[in-house]
Amino acid sequence: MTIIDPHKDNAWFGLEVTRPIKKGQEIRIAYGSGVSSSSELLLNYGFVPEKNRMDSFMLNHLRKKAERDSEEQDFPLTSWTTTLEEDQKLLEMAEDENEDNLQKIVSFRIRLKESYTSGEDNP
Amino acid sequence: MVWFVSSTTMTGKFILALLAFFPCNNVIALALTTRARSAGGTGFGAASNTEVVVADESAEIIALRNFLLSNRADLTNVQVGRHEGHGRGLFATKSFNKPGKIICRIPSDCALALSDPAEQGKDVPTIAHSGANLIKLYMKDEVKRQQWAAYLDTLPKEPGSFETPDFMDLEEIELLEFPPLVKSAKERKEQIAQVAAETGYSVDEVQYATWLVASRSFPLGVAAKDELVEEGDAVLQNIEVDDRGQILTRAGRSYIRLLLPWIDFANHDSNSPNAVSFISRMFSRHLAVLHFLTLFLSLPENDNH
Repeated sequence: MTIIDPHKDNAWFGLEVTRPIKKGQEIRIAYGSGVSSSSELLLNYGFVPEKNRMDSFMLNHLRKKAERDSEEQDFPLTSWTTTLEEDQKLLEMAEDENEDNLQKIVSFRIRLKESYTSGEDNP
Repeated sequence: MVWFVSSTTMTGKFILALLAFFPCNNVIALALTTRARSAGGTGFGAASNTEVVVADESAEIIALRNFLLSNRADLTNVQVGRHEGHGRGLFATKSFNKPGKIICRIPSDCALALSDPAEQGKDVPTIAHSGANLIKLYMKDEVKRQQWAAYLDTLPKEPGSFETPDFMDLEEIELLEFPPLVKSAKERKEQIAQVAAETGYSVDEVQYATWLVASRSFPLGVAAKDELVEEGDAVLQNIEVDDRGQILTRAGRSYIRLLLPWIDFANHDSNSPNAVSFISRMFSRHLAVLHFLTLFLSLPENDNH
């Protein structure tokens, strides 16, 4: 049963330009929903981006929601056991020891702490 | 063939100028105006300013390209390259000056659906179930395995440095310390174990297939350009964040997962992507879903595969 014939109806998947691309430049897309937080990127793609403006958006949203629901004690960022500076030292150690998982874990914590404290690129 | 990818236009121009004097060597120098690794790398350590990207002309890439071209794909303006040390990516072989231009495209019957339409979504309540479907529908089905060999052969054999928390033990997951992620990661591991028990596949098999699906599939509906490109940042006004910290778009609440050969070589950039995946404009989201459900049913009769 085929209601729509892909050969007749010209159905395609592809990549489309959103910013000018020069010959030789890498083509990069935003994975997932296109607005993925670093939490989602790590969960689904296994990496922590160097920068992600969606993180501060997500964290601020969660904070406001917790305040609105009078659940400040449940706000996710109240449970860190290390400071940003301690994590940065941990990351150096993990890199020296080639501890891949630890590097990823600490990088994620650093990413969120930096996003929350600086509100960087807050959309 | 080797591409020298430079993070500065000047360096790229310099290399291009050198090539003008040595036109016979087998090197193409390419100027890269954005960060070499941008936000798509692992995020560990500093990205080098100049990176060598080697054109991937392996037998498996050539086989996939030929397979797609024989099925009417348009891949003229892209080349698969291999980053030094961290996998493949897609590179433009011509300049695109205006947004909206199509870089490459594959016909929809070259996409692999990961749910059985007869089940009306009941067969994929979790992403681990989509992973099990990848095993069942393509990897373990002798006919489909052969039909899709050109694509399946290009899939990474292991996650390498892109392991998700699925591959961490519970103690490591706890160290993430962000409750929404800790919760999701634990649930994902439980789902993988549960699906393995239900299907009889090993935990390792389901874990690997789930990783492939999570990291490579495209959720149909989310990538519609109308919401994510044309509206630009205005799309943020329509976003909600659920209790797990997952960002939801209007289109993100319901979708089926698809594997899109060749397109899935594209790497990620959180803050400044230069392309977006699309489905051909003639379909509304509803029709697109309908199309794939019916297409899926018609696959065994399709002579192209």
